[in-house]
Amino acid sequence: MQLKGKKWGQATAVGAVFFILILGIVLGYLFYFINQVENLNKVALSTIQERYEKQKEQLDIESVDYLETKLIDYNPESIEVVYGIKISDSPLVIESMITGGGGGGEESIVLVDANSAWDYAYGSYDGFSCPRGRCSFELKLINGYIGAEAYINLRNVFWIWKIGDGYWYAPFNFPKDVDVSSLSLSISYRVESTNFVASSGFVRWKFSVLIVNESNYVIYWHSLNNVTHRDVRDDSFTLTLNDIPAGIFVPGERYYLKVYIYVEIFLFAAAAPPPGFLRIVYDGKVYFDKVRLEAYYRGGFGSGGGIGKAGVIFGFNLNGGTPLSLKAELEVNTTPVELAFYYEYSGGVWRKFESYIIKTTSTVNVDLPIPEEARNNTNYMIIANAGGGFKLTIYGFKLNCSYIADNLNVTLVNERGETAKIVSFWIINASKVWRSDLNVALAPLEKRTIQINYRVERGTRYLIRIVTEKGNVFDYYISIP
Amino acid sequence: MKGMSPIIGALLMVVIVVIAFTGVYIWSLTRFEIYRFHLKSLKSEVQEALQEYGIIEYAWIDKDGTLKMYVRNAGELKLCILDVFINDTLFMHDLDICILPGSGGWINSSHVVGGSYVKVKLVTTRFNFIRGEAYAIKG
Repeated sequence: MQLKGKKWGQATAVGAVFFILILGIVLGYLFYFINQVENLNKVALSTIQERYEKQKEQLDIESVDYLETKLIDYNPESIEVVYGIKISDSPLVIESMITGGGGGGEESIVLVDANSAWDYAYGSYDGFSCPRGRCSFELKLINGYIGAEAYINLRNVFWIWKIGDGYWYAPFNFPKDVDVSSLSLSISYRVESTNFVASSGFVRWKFSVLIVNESNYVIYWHSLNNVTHRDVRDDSFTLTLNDIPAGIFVPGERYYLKVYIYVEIFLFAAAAPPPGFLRIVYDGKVYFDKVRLEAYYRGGFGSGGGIGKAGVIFGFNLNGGTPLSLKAELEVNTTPVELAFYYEYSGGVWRKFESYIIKTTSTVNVDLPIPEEARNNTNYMIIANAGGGFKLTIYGFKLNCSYIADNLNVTLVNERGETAKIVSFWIINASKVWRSDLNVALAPLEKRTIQINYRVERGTRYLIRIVTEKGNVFDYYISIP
Repeated sequence: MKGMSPIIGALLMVVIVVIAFTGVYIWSLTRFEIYRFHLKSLKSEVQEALQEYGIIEYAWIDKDGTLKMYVRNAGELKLCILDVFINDTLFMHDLDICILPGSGGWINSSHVVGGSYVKVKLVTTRFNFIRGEAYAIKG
């Protein structure tokens, strides 16, 4: 029994050793497994962290500049002298023509001659539209309380043109070389009432004419006839004023002729109206057809009398450009000379867009912005007026035009606190996809302009896509007018 | 006592136990080594799959109806595109187009995609998905 027990004891010992070895393997594997899972978790966590960090990139496009400006010269073949006599071609010298003066009897000088809508370069009012000699109104939901009175006078006055801002005016110089005996102002206009809804009442258009000096001091005022409307209709009027005293003007000084319009609405309720509110709807338009101010004088007094006028038409080959400003280098031999700048609205119809008074006999450079509505025009006209004969020398006309550039200048801003590296630039419209490799690193909060070798097209909307090295995509949209 | 001597008997017992446990030991060691190998490769695959990261920079249906896209590898490992699915339907397969980290590559289909808008899904060799969409460009 003792021997038998010894045998089992040895075997147990050997087994125990092996058991411990196998247990060691199992535990080792278990620890290894745990370690691997832990490593994997670490990798997963760091990947999540990385992805999170990647998402923190933020790039913005501050501006996309696709235009370039160029100065273009006028086309010499387009030069057409409309007033005066051309003396030389290079530089272009024009001797003014003289109107009035020198003869006997009564002569007249036209100080203001706005004979179509194109001369009404000014005129706008908040909420109303007064483009080019035409004003339109739309008065709606004007509620007046009707009380126990038999009649209510609800007066709404709308100033269409107000002093100092958007009113229509025409500047003129009072002639200094002639003795003006009288003045005559005639205004032709048309009032069109297209809609008038009210229980009872009428609409009254009132006109006032002012003449102010350069300090805006009123030297003449006259209210013109009222035009009363009770229904939808269309009327034309011509008003003539012969009571403007010539003695109030200082010869050679500059004045402004202004026209104001009011609209008054009168409502009349029934004898015993129910309390409540009335609603008025009125749509109306005023069209100016002609405004003419003439000064009459006895001819034949003094030498050099009359009004000097020189005018020239010139054109440009835009080649797809958009005019921004007109530059002219001019010289006159007497002062003051008033320059009026026009653009050709349509075949033979000119619209005045700027005035300029030359007060020196040395060379002047004028730089006048071209109005929005004239941005497709190629032909321009300058008309110079003075209180006597003069010589106009034109050294040059240049048009500052904007063109679609061959490159895009894109200004990018890194809005975050980490460096962002841009690796791809896409520009896409409805019909084209274009991509370029980039290698631009933007430090935190850095702003940088990059040049992209791509030419955009007018009238197109583009998607600009920027891709960073970390795989973030930033989209922006631009519209090219 | 006749037969085996106790010493022989004891030795025999020890030999039997040693042989038996040696077998068990070798078997378990082999198994665990296999498990360890699998675990290691699994971990490596998962790790790689996590580190793989690609995006479709832009995809579109061109004027001729074919699908074009530019894929960027924004991860840390080589990215290989295996299949392209359009609206969850296999469109191109076994492409094996590989893009190095930090680079991009074009994938252009040779056959026509129907419709003006499709959802695009790329399958990588690590069985990751890269999703995007494509609009038709008008001529």
